[in-house]
Amino acid sequence: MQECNIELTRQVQGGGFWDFLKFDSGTSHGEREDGNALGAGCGTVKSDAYVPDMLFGIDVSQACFQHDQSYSTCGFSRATADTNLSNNILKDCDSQGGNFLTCNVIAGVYSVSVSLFGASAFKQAQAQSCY
Amino acid sequence: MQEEQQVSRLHKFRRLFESLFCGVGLLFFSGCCTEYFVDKGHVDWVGGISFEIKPPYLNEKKAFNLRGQNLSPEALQQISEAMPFIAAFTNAQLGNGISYAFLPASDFKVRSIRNIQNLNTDIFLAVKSIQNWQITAQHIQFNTDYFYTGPDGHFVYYRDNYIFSRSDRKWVFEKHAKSEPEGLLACEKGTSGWRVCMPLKPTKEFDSHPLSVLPL
Repeated sequence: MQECNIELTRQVQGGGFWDFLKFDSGTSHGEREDGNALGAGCGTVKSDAYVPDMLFGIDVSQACFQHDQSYSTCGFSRATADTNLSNNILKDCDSQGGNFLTCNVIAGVYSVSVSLFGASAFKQAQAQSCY
Repeated sequence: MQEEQQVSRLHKFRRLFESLFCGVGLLFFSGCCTEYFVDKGHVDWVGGISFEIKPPYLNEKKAFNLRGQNLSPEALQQISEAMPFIAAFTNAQLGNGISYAFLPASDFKVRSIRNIQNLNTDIFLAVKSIQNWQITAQHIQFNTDYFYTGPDGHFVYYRDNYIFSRSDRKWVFEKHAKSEPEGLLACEKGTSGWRVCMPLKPTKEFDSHPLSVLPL
């Protein structure tokens, strides 16, 4: 039987063991740590503190912010925006040293989330941008 | 002893993983509440000054980086007044589905990132942050960091500089703060795990017309 140890974990996820434990919403005390306004990353103003911008040590905030901006562009296709989100997370994760499994898990989690809960957000964003 | 440490760490990892799943579960459960996922905007308070982070140009307004910039209440008040104008200008600069014919005539002197970087209309240009504020009574100077998906699928980051001036009750683009944009940025993961971006080329110390007056 294969023994699970730190070295194996490092090999599986591609980075340091402690990096693998990094989950961070990028907010602290109700404010974003990067200095931007709430919602400028993964999640909305209400959910920013709960939706991670960093998952398994991988910063996905820019992929999320681009996705938000795609939704807010009048006439932009929701399917294209969601596909771009997944592709951007995969590439961005790869450039940050994430391995195949980690990157696909992260991209999968966010893809499922936006496909399940993105409809109302897309509708609202389009209504706000098409005037 | 070492095995005990490994087991302890693995237990910690398992607890963290369980917390994550609980969090995701809660997130899905609260999915009933659509407001949780729909952003209608809010009023942000920075240094006692209110900022209307509301449509139109909601995301451009979210990109205003105002915290940790050592801005006085007077400077913040000025940025608050200029926010709608800077957000609209930034949206036009992104040029996602907007024709340059819709830009005001005075804005034709603005550098186009799409032209400089040869970005066709299919490429989605996004704003990362608007920061490095320098304020005088009549002017606001700042940098805007943009990003887009490059040909290899990776994000490309780009910075340019702007000066807005007061005109009646409006704030309008006056000129670029420097004769050249800072250009491409190199963004690396810092020790905290977040990206830190720096210009690839060295910036010129004395250039064009940066605001040399002390901030308010």
